Amino acid sequence: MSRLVDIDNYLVLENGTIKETSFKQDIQIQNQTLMINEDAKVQIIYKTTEEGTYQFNIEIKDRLHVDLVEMYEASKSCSYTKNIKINESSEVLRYVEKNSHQNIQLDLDENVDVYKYARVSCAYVELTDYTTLSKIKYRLLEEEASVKLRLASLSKEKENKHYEMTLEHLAPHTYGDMDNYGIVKSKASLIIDGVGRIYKGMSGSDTHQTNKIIVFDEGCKAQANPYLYIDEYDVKASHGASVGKIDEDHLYYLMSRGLSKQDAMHLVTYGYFLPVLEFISVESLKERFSDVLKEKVGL
Amino acid sequence: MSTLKIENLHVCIDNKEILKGIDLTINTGEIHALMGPNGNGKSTLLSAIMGNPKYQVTEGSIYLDGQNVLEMSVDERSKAGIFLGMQYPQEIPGVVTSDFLRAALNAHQEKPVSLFKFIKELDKNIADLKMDENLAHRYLNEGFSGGEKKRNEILQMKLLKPKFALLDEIDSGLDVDALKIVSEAINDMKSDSFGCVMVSHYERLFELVSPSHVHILVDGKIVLSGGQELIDRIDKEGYRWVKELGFDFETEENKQPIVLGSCGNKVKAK
Repeated sequence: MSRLVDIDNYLVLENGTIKETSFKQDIQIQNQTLMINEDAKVQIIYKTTEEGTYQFNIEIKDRLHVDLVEMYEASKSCSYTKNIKINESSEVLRYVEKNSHQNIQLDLDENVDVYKYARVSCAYVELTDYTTLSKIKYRLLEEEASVKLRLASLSKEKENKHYEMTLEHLAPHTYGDMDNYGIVKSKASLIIDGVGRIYKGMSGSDTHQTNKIIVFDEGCKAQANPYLYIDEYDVKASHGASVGKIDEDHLYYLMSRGLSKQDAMHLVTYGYFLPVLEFISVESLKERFSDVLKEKVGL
Repeated sequence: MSTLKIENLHVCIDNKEILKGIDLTINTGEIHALMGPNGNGKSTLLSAIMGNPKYQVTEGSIYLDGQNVLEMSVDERSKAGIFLGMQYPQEIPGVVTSDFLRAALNAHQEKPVSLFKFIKELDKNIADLKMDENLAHRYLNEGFSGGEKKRNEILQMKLLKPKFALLDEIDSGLDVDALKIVSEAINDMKSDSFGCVMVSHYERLFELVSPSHVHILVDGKIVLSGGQELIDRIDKEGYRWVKELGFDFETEENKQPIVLGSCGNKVKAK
């Protein structure tokens, strides 16, 4: 796990305690809370070498542009709880990636509160060798709050991955959109629950979700569950879920040009996750993501 | 010289026999035109040679220079030198055209092609075919017009340099200018180490790329073989006269309803 060259602000947490910081912009840490007070690009690394339950919070002040890159690196099973607050009119681009070459359990419970006119885009990238239960909840608390999420998860070997991605609309005129993509291989299991919730009185809100899982092998388990709970008339909502094999016609076409079945499947997998790149603004991270993806899908 | 030899080929789809004993030998250096009314098995023949898993070969053989093609997987057939320019090339979202082309090229070579050499060759071919310069960065065939898709098939043929190219209605969807460009590309490929089978309904393509052999395929069999004179006659008289020679066949494809399959993809009803 390395520091990204084009990010100025850097923070390493080891087993929940602060190990290393380097801040160029106005950023402070108080009571396990990272306070970002100025436009900034920030990288946070969560290292875990001891089993445990850890908590960390992030608060982004109002009217800021922030790029937040968060990476988890664990060698022992652990669970993280995070509360994130994104204040009025801030624009945040988040990228969350988990890394481990060991078969451990890494759970994540993330609550993100989004205030007036704030806009958040976040990519969750999960290409690693562990089991997880991740509960990601975005609460749109004030008018014109807007959230866009994208999940790319690869579950392989005997891994067991379960995601609960929730968008809660707690104010009128709030917007939520998520695309959750998954791939399951060998004996792995992958469950994606997409939840959109619009409460009574929260008129003029939009909530959309697409959940897609491609199944590679017999013996995989996959579930894509879309849920919409809507208690208001004047809203727009949509959901879609699909679980299926890779398109046989696509495979035939690629193979007819000489690609082995394996290569053809890799190419399709790579392409399937590629849209996550749209959520990354940092160049070195784009390259890294592309490399990790190539390595993990074996291109 | 290479030879693609098809003998007594019977092919079924969903237990319905489409090809009922095809005999055809193609040598490199030859251009074969395959004609016949819709729904009589022309596309099936080309797909069966390529190894489309939807078609079952129930009898007969296909050999490429003594190698048993029917025992090869689809990618092995491609690597052995067979290329199918498809009537309906697949749109594959997410797969970037240049990544795909490079992977395909590498599959045909022992050593991977250098990036520099690849880009140079790709750019040259894209310019020759007067294709969109951004094509390499677009997703494979996604959002391509009918003509662009067909030119993309020709682009792949030029890059992969097959021994035998099977071109299935490569001219449909092309305007007059594009047809000229595609015909020139095929003519450029002509050599003693390149053979071609073209399926088309239009005399126009065969005027631009003149075939050395012409076959008429009806009801799953090749009933007549000859030269240019067959094309002229079909162009003037249609296929009625073939019937009068004593061959019975349907001249119109049964109209099949289009149904929405899974994920909203358009698929033909089986």
